[in-house]
Amino acid sequence: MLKANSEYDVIVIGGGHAGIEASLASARMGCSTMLLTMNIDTIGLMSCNPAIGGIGKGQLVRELDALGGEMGKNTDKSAIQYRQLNTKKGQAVHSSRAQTDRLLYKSCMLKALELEKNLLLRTGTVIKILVKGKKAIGVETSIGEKSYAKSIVLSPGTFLSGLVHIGLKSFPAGRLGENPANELSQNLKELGFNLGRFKTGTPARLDGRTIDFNKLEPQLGDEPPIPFSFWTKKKVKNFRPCFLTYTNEKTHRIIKSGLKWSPLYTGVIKGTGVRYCPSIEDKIVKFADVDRHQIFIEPEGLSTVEYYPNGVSTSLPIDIQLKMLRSIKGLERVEIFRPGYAIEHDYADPTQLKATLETRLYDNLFFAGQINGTTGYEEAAAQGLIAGINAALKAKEMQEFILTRADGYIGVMIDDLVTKGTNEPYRMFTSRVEYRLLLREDNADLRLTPRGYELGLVPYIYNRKIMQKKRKIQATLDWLKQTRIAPIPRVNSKLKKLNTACLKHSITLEELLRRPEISYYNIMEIAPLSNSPLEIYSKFDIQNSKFSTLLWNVEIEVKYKGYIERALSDIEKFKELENIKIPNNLDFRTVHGLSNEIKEKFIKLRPLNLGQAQRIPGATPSAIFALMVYLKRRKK
Amino acid sequence: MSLSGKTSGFNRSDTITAIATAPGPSGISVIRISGPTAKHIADKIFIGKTRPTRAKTQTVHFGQVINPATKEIIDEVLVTVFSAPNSYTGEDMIEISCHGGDYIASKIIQEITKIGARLAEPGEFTKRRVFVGKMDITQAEATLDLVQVKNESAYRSAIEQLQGKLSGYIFNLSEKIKLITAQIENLIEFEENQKHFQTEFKKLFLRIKEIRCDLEATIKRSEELKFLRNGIYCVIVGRPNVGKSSLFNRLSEMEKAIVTELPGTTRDSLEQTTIINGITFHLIDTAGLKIIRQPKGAQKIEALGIKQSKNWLDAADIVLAVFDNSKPFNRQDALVYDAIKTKPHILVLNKIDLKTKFNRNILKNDTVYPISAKYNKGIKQLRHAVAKHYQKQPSTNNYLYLNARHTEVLKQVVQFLQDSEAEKYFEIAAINLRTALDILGTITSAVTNEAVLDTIFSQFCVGK
Repeated sequence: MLKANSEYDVIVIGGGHAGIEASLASARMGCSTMLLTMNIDTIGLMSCNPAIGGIGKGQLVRELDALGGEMGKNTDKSAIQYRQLNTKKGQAVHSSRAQTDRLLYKSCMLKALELEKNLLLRTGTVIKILVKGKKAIGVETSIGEKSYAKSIVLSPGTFLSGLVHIGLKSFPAGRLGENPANELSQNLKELGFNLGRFKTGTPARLDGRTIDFNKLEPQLGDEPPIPFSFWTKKKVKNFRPCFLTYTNEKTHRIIKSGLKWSPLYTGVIKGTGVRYCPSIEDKIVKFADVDRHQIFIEPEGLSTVEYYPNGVSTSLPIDIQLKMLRSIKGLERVEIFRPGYAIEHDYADPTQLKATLETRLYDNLFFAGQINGTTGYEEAAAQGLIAGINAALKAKEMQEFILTRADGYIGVMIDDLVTKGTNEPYRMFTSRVEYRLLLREDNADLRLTPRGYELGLVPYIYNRKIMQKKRKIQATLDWLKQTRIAPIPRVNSKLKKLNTACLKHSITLEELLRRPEISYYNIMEIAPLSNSPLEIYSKFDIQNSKFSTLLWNVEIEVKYKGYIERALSDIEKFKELENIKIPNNLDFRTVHGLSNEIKEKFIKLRPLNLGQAQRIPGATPSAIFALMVYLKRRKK
Repeated sequence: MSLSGKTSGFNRSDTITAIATAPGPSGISVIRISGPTAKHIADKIFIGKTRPTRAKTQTVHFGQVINPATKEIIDEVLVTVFSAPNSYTGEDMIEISCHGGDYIASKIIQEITKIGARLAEPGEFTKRRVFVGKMDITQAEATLDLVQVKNESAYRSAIEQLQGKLSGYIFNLSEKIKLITAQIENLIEFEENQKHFQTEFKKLFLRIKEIRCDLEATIKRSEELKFLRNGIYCVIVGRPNVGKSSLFNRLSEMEKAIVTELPGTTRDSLEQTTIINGITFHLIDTAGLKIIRQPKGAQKIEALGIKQSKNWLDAADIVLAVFDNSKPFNRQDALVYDAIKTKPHILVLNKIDLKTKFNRNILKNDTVYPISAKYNKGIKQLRHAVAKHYQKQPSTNNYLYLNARHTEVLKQVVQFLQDSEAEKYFEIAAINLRTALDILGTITSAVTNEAVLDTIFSQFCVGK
């Protein structure tokens, strides 16, 4: 255990999902790290729904996990139900999601932090970032304690000038029942940061003893469940179902009648809300023609009767919340444990950051999570990891670590944030990812684990496993290509059953697998098993999901071959521009042929390369061309 | 996008100059200078009441061009001053109107290049215009077409394209594809209403099909009506001495004033361009058509021996087959008739001034136009018949002229749309749609590879 000291390599402020990953990454990379949080008891608290993953978000967690992050592992320690989403829409957009036990998630996470020898946990409310010139050097807490560090990561979540709204009542809070960080917000403004205001919200929590589950449709987890982490060895299980119910006309009437007390619709809330995760009142107003909205009733844990109604986030007054909920099938007698609420908080315009998440204004100061205008645990955690890694690298005076858009979802998210900024809370989507066919959940480990290993975040043994997995996949692919299957009656009768054309002459297994109707499991039933790499996958292994992800990977490689090759060549083209670096000291004012507007943008955002410059909103082709011509001439 | 191609010769920080008018004797010549130092250069060589650097934009000034070293006067000129961004290229620009003839203009150009401008490359002025965003590529192409225009239809479609008709069409098409892509992505990204997503996808796929069919129809129509722009290839065939050449001469003579020679052809050329009822016809006299005998085994196969004629026949939009009224229909005539039967054709019986020995019944139900090329008889009727073939001229309102580049790109778009319609994996469908959008963008966008740009702009003359 690290001893208290007034000097550290890295200080992380905030113990949410971003702060956790940042402090663990930094500590694991050998930096003495202090995690400063307002309350150690709430480290790793899931402030909103008790679930990890989702479409686009599952990919973030897998990448995080592949790089040596904690979120995936912790999810497997506390999960109570697993589901794969989008399974019918194409393999590349499959996403994992797991319900977790809220208490267990938090306590497991705290344990992981406590086990880290380079990490000191400390309660304290930071009111000031200490700077010296253009450099951040330390922090000061509300009790006057000053600590110094080579790098500082700030991840305050919704706490920066947090303001909670329930009906027309509002009060300062970081979360319901917790204090906000107002001084820090003021301090950031004084330091020159451009702050904006975003809004997010959460639904009421329900007493499970008052829910009539017989009236609800249960929604079971996948069997067998696929663990979230590539490294989870123990078999994961589904413990509890979720339940499905719907709003109805009566619910909508009640909500409409309550709009005059809605802080959202009376103009009390000024911050921009999450377009993709709207409150129920927002849904009723914006999608007036939809006659019902889906609600998932999700268990909060194994040791509690509390339930989370996913889909009815609200900031209506408490009496209307209750009335509205009780109009819903199965919730007629429901009682509320905690009211739903909206929270407004400050965020800092993320275009003030470099791709390492270091601020442009102050060296050694990094921002991660909701402060950068994002929403979601997964988005926060992924930024936390990148900020933590770069904070540690900076402390060690080593070269920065940047993931590009071609490397993963994390790269896309950060590039979007620092290049384009965001005018609403930013959420990850698969459609933001140009190369999503290549950047999948199933190959996140193949893509990123070697890089995590280089950073010192992934143990040697894990990396070796990935190398083995790569070889196994290759062997299976080779075997599929080389093995031919004859049009014998046994095979053809099987194919008939699978609704696919019978064979007229022999074909390779690869060709067979390319048919949309054929899955890898079918191949295993049809193919001659002797001398195949399949032999090593016994029945048990197939049940064991580690192998099923491997087979999944093989299947995608075969089925999407042409598209994968095209995506790879697209990446090559992308890299051409990405590799034309823009020197740090380039004075954009001297580049002939740029309009003043775009000159200012370039000066403000300082794109690292031509590719990033091109993605800056307003960068015209002629501006990029002028810049390229300038760079080429300079080189000579 | 690939911008990493060669950038040599296209350096926008240079000031460029060129003679903008065609070479040869003329009333006046116009010299263009464009770039950051255009006005300063003009200051040094022009003596007038106002210095070009002080002049307001879009103003004309009378004065003299001098040799700045010797102060010797070269010519009396009018100088038009344009200040950025109010000029063709969007840069500072000077246009000097001097007396015609190549000698004076080149003398002035010499002085300009001595002071610091370089000679422009073909199309460089327009290329600059595209790169500052004053014009998209289709409009640049239209500019090129406009200066080469030879008939009313070509003029109309070029003007329409210049005004953005094609760009507008492409914009609407890509908006439609974008909307569907967004809807597909929406179904992928959100879990709600999972149960209905299959039907939703089916609806979207039907919509893609509609768009694709519509696009295919547009391409087809454009190909069918290409003759409006490119002219109609009218090939005259017949055995030797039937009077092909005299007919050729008669047809081209009809409107001598507007008969022009195609570039690159000589006075003895077998190709002449004439305009009948506003439509351009390229007349081709296939004097080279001969009959040869090929001994092959027992059978002696007679074939149409073809030098360039076979190619011409393939390229022909319409064929004029000429027969000799004064000779009986012979084997050679039969070969000619055979070769043209499947093409749109008009049969011509020449030499009706001589005694008839030709049996018309052999030509079955085909209409035959009797003429005498020598005495200019029946030529008017024949011209009328040729033009009638193309009388069903559509209104150009719903017709989109597509050049070879546009057609090629749009055909690829069709392919990608078709691929996405049949796709079982929805994210692949989305990828195909995105690719279709990317490709579509290359029609109008300056963000395309250098090679394409170079091809387009190298067809320009230097001063454009």
